[in-house]
Amino acid sequence: MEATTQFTALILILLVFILNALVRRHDRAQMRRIRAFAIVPQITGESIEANRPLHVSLGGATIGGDTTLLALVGKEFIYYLTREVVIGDASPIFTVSDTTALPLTMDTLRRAYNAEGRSDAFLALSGRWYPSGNRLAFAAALMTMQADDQVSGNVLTGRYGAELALVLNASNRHKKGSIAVSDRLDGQAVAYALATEALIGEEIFAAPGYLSDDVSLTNRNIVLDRVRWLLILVLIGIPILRPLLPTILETIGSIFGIGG
Amino acid sequence: MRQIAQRIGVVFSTVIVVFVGFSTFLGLLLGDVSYNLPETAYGFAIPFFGGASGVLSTDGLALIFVRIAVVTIALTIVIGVINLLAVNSRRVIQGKLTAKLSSIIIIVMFFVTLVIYAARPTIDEQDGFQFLLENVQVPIESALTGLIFFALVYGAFRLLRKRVTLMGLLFVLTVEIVLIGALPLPGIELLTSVTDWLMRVPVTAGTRGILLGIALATLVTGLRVLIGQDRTYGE
Repeated sequence: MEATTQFTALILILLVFILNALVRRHDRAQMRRIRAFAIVPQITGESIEANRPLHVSLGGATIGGDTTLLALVGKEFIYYLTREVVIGDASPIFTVSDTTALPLTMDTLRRAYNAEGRSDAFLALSGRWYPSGNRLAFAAALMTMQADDQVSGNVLTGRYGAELALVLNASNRHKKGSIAVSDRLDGQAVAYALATEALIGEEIFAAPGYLSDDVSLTNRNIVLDRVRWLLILVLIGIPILRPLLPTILETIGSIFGIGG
Repeated sequence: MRQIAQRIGVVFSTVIVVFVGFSTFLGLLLGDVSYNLPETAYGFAIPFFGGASGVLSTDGLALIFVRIAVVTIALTIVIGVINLLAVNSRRVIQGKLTAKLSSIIIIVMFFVTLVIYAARPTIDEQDGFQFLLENVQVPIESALTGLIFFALVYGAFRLLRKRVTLMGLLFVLTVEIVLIGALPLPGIELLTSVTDWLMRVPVTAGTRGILLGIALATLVTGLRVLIGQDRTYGE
């Protein structure tokens, strides 16, 4: 690995450590309003009142690939969401397109039922794997599910491409509310146009902080905001400091003895 | 007593996650680290890792953990197959008529494929076994790809019907300019140049903004999981 990459990674780690330590000492901060989180009670309430399952999905997010953290964060979002739903009779349906994420679905639902003291009502088959060589097959499965399983709404987080349009279109046709987000740009654009409410980009990482009372999750959002501001400063500062940057990196690299 | 056991479980799993996470992360980041420790004031080198100088292989342990993860991930396919059969069997018994039909087809096709592959594991494309794939799956997927276009156009229409906002108008306007600008028609050079500019400047800037945001969030969340501040792996 190149010395610059190693150095940048170590600096970033150090930075996050420092920010974590600083943020932990502060009180809970006010977070900006995100419309998608505001309709969560409506989506969960519809499932309970209509006695129909809420459909939640991680799409193509997997464990072991570049979407591992996306899957973990999506799972946390779904955990807090399903905790509201599992007090009803209709068990939520949790779908994934990759088997590596399947244990996550069962664990998430089991935790949600346990947290609400209804572990006896947990049904392992509420976690479903729809095989998908390419994502169209997965989208087709979710389309048919809207009518076959009479879902009350859709919460789609994780990785989707343009095929998300088919799922959201089916959801809209059945007049179901939906929240959608994707880490891929084509999926993100479709989510913005077709979902009842869309989360944009890294807002999915902020979701657990909005839906839970856990201060550590709120702190994550604050750290994220601080790092984002620092990045903006760096982006503005780099053009100004560009002529001096190689010398600074070489000097610091030689002090710490980092080499490629 | 149960609460204490749970707390111990949480601490134990946190310690394992932090240890495995950090050793894998640092091992893959640093790889082989060459070191050259200076002689101390007492005249001897610090005797760790085989002497005053040498190469410290930090990625050995990391690679072991990565291999364990790969094997575990490979095993999840078994869970997947069991889940697929169980879910569809349940739908056959309890589901609506359309759900029953599709689930029966899935189960039957699963076993047909299994039996054929078990009987002749060396089937190649010339055997005609690809018939279903080429004549059923591929055309259906092509049709679905075509449907995406109509879904997107409907989406743009729906966006304005739902609520007319500045962002919604901007979105639809941009889509229309880009679509028209991409047409090979004479007399729309201005639109073509606007399309080029849109793709080159605002789209690239927005793309980078979203991707940077996701990358930063991934980094922060990943590090917080590594240091045990976010425990996304259990209660």
